[in-house]
Amino acid sequence: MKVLGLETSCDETAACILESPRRILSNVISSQIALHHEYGGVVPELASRRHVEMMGPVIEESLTRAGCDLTSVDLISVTVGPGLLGSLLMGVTFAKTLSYAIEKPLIGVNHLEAHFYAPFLEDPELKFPLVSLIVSGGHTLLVWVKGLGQYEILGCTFDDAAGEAYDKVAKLLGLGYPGGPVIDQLAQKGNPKVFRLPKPYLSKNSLDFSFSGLKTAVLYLVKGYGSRNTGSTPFKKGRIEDLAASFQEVVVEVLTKKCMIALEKTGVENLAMGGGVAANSRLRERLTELAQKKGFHLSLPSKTLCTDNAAMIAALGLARFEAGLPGEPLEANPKLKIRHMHLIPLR
Amino acid sequence: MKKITPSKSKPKAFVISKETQVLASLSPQETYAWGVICGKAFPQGVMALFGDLGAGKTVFAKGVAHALGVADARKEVLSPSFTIVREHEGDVPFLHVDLYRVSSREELEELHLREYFERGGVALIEWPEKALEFLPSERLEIYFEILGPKKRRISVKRRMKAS
Repeated sequence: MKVLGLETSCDETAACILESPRRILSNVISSQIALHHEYGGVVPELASRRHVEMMGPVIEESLTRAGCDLTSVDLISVTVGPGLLGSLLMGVTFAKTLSYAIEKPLIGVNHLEAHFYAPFLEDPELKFPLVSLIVSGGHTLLVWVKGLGQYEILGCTFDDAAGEAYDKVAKLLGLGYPGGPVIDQLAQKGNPKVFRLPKPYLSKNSLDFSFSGLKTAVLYLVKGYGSRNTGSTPFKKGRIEDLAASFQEVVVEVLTKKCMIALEKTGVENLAMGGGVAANSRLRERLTELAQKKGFHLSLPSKTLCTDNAAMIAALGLARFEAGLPGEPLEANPKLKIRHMHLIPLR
Repeated sequence: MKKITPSKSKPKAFVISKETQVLASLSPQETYAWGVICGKAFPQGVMALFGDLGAGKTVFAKGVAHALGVADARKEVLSPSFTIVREHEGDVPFLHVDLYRVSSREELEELHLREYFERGGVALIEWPEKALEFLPSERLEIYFEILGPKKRRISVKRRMKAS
């Protein structure tokens, strides 16, 4: 069975062909195609018009790379939310039209839920139940994934997402957008102990996150105020590498500590990651160390499957279709929530 | 210009006026309190929030949302930098827009901000300098300045059609 996955929840137009159970025949995102300058010019990042222009070429490319054509597609799976309304509308409308034209079933899926399934595509040893940490520019979420369609949200951010904190700190330091990869690279050459930044744990054992104050703490160092809470010296003419490393260390420590608390609270032995920040080298290194030390199974997808991609959309659509579970309503829904099938209170 | 702090002023007596009012805040909690007070005094229309990263715009937005009856506003109102637009339902609709990531006129047009404004309630815009021509000329303008660690100056001004 071949599944065509379509993803347009934000900036990227993505398409993939997945063969059951989990073979990725092709996995294409629009930014790869734009690299070839086939369509020329600078296209605005957020414009939903761009999705209209890219959808056709991206699907064609995914079919070509998979060595098949539309007639061999058995199922279409599309992101219906959460995300930007305009972008989602384009994807959902395109998918509906295509489904009607080639007379094949269409299933709508939740983008965040799909992130839980990305690790399964590369890690045959990963089993339910698992704890999933989704960290990106738009989301910071810890979820207890008990089985297909059975989730409990353990924690989420109160203000900024982890990736957003990276982007904003990069902006404060004049490093450009996106901030994640730049700070990660600089941090590798820095000393994380030079600047002491506050660690936003919220209350003890809380699984929620707050990164807004950390961004402001970096701002104070840059503005030369120092930090009253931690007694850290101001940035002034310090090394930018050291500030990047100090910031990154706090983010990584908070994320990893909360993952450990989540594993302990749930008694789960599998930890998986998703979202752009999951590509961060220090976060991966630290979790790998902890997995060895504590003996839990850690699933770290490759960068392509961490960031927004269509393979995970196809994977979730296929899993739901085969299990006979309903898809999401086929309407673009920017605020789509993860549906809790079984709510079991935490101990 | 009057200078007032949320603890010293009587919130009920706070009236939005055409004259610039300067509010002082010494903590995120006070900024939140100012958001609640402004939300109560201005439950309908467009609020434009100017100010740098870390100045307290999103904290203020949480306060406004609370005043408008958005359930669990402290937790539910998040920074919309990534999604650009977040809609909340309170006693009246509360639209939270963050234009931080928007970089071109074409992108602004695609957001269809005017259609949102027609729905009533409060539309709160962070980084509004990117879209002034898309905003109604009658609006509340709020400027945030960072004076020191935790210390902020918040200036509130009602802009009318004629001005």
